[in-house]
Amino acid sequence: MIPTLLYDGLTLVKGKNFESWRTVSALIQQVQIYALRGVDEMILLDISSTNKKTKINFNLIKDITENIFMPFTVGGGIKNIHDIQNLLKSGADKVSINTAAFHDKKFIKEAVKIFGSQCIVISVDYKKINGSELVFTNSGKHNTNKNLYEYLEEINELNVGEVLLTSIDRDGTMLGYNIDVIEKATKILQVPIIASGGAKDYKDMLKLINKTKITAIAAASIYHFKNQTPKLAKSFLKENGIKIRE
Amino acid sequence: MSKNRNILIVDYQIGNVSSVINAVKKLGYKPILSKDESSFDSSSHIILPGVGSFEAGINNIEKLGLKKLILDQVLNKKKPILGICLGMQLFASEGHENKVVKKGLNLIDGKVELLNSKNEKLPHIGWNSVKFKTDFKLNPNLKNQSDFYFVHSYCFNCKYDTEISGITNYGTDFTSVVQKGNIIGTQFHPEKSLEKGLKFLNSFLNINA
Repeated sequence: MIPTLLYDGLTLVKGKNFESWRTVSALIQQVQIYALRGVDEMILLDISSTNKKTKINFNLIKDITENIFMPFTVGGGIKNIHDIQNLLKSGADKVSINTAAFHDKKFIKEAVKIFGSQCIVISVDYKKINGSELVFTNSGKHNTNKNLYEYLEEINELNVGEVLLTSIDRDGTMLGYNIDVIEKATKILQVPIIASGGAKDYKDMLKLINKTKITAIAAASIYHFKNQTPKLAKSFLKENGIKIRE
Repeated sequence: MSKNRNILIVDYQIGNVSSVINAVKKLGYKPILSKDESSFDSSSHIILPGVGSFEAGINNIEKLGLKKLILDQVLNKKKPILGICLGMQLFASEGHENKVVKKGLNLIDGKVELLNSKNEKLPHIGWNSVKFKTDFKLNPNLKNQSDFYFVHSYCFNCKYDTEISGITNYGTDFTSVVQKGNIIGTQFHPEKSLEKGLKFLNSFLNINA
């Protein structure tokens, strides 16, 4: 159970289909609330860094990790080994790379060699265009025209630790996970997938887990805008026979 | 012993140690990240952290002259030491990695080998449950099973069952906790395992206290 926190450089936001971002709360405050609510890990993505060509605020990462004792993944605008080093030094355990991973496979291979595959997460955003799933970069702003499944095959060769797979169409809609795509992706990818985008409610999470054998699920909107918490989600899943961390 | 004690976190320049430092601080002790003899001497407990390869780890320990220091503190001065992840693996007699065999600190008999996880993907990343031996004193829970956070591909195959204090299943059963007197090791990361992890760490820091 992994909440994704989207940060725009100033506050925590949540969008719909990667647009119309709404401010949801002060970041540090939210992180601490999650830490008490039974989440297993956290992912923080700075959605402004790549497009504004800025760097993530390392001090902010430091402030967060001083107080949460769980795995913490950070992403946004990561372009080189030095960026990763700085994030790990600030207390991140893993880094999530999206745009740079698409353009620079050599960089990812080098990062895996230096930091280990457990440390590198590739984030993939996709959207359905004319019937096929295509990969988007730059926080969903740039259509690469690359077929999602072809890209996932390529990722298999990079030996990264995990893939964060987000549906732009479902993002923020609370319409339910894109189960067909996730199922197909789990069959292609040799690494664990964190499925993200569209979580509707606990039942939707259960459906996803049962149908796809996925082991990690991310959600944001239902925690921000609905009266649902990671803790309640977990007890629901447990009651339905899913093995889950206690 | 007062709570205001120094806790030495061995600085052998491998992996990320900031969470270990933060966790020790959170529990109210004074973490000292160092490789100096004087810091070893002034500390009540030693933590050997680390994520990464066995070879890189043991090479750094030897290069920095830390092997003699650690062995002296642990074997002669009997200080409690906690090895976390790679730190625990370095306690072994030897490490087998990509057909290279390296000698470890040889504090606990056994070999570090690739985890035979069968159909499960490696590295083993995520939460998994640890079944503690009933007589293991650092168990943070009343139940004999708790979940902790793991990140590793290799595991510690102990020579003697008596030195295994916890077992986890990932495709196969592997040793997730070892203990031999004042020497304790966990394959999981207590500093990343929320309240139970902190509780575990606190019990360790309270040995002899």
